[in-house]
Amino acid sequence: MTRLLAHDISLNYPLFGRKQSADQQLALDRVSFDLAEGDKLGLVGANGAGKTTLLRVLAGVVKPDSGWVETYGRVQSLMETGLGINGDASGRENIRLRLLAAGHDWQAARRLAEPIGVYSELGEYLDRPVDTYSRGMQLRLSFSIATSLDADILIMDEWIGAGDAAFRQKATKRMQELVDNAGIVVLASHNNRLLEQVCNKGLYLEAGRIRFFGDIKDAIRCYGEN
Amino acid sequence: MDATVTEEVRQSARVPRVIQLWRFWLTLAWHDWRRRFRRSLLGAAWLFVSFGLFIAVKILIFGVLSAESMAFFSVWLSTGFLIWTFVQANLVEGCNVFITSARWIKGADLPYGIYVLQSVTRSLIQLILSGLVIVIVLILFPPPDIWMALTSLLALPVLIVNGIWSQLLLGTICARFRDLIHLTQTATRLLFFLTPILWVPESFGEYGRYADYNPFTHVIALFRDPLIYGTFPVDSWLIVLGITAGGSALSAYVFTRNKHRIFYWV
Repeated sequence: MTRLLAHDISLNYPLFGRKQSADQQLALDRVSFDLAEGDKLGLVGANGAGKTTLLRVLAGVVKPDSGWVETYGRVQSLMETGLGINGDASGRENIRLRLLAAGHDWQAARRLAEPIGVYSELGEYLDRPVDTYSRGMQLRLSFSIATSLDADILIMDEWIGAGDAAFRQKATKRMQELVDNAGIVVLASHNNRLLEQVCNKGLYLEAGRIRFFGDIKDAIRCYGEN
Repeated sequence: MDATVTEEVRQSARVPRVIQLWRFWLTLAWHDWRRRFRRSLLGAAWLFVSFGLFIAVKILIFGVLSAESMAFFSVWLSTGFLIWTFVQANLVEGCNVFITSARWIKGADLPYGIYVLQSVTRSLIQLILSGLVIVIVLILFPPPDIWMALTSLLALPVLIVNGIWSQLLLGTICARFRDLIHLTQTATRLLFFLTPILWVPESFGEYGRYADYNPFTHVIALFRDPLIYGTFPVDSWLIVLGITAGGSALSAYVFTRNKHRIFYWV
């Protein structure tokens, strides 16, 4: 059974090169929630409210100062484009790299990379270095990899911004399939329409604290009023 | 789900993840190499060529200045310089090992040791390719005792372990204190002249013994002594093994204490 629990997560972001003011910033303040299979959580809040930090903690990329995350199921994350990518290698090689990072052997990585490449619709660009890609193409590559790697829990940050309409539709369908297969999606976005379309639950963060947790429509309304 | 990977990955809980993912860091190291020699005609053969030329010129210039015989000095300089190149690569690249991997550190939940192993692998490939030059030198000036000469290869695992701990340690500290990158680079350049590579301690008489206080003298001796004197340098081995144990412990301590902060530092 897929499940994602956040227990009382607090995190201070260290600041460097500042002599006078505080040397750290509170980014998350006792954040707790519980997501069951099929839940699609939308994170809303102003810039700097802690959405990205929360996603990083959930993805296991950073450790919280206190509290912990409990995950039942495989986690895949899709952060900023260009992260978790070797810009110098081709798209196809990057797909293989991520498969190797997931623990597959050479042959499996080679074989499994093919359908992922086809899904990304990058065509001949798959054999060019990722650094030559446009932002939208990078995003398509990252999205295709992250959603193909046998994920039960998918964590995504503002991924929709750069995709074109056709791919956006395809991506929404992909996420729906994932959730239908008893997965969990956590998505941060400023696009309210997208959130309402994709998510059923909403979490409104303000200055690292949960202001509201419940239905996505209520979360968006609550955020809009403030 | 049309293109979704449903294949199970067999994983053993006993083997650390860093080791389980050897294919991943090996591929990263390979990509680094490819980038370095992209669109060049000779490719990685450049390493062999440049090392060979460097050695040849140095032997010509410093061999004339040196009181030693040409045969002795050629082996002395080429073996010393080979090991030094590896040491230097690990010190200098170790400082940046996490900084240059920021894209992975910030984007993927993978053990950081991966980036260290990637970097050490890169310098090991360089060592092996440059080592081909040594083979030629040794054919021209054969070592006194072939069987003893083979013990020089025992230095290889020790060099690798020392490369790993020093990169892990330097990578962690330098990510936080960036001045140490420049300090290490400067110190490495100075150490090259303080280490008996271009000069032979005996020719300095009384002052020559100060070279024994330089740990790199002993690191090089592990490889060089069996090839040049046909002896097994017991003292140097003890010193280097001591440094390896101490350094590994220190490195492991500093890294585990700070690894959750590296994300913010890079």
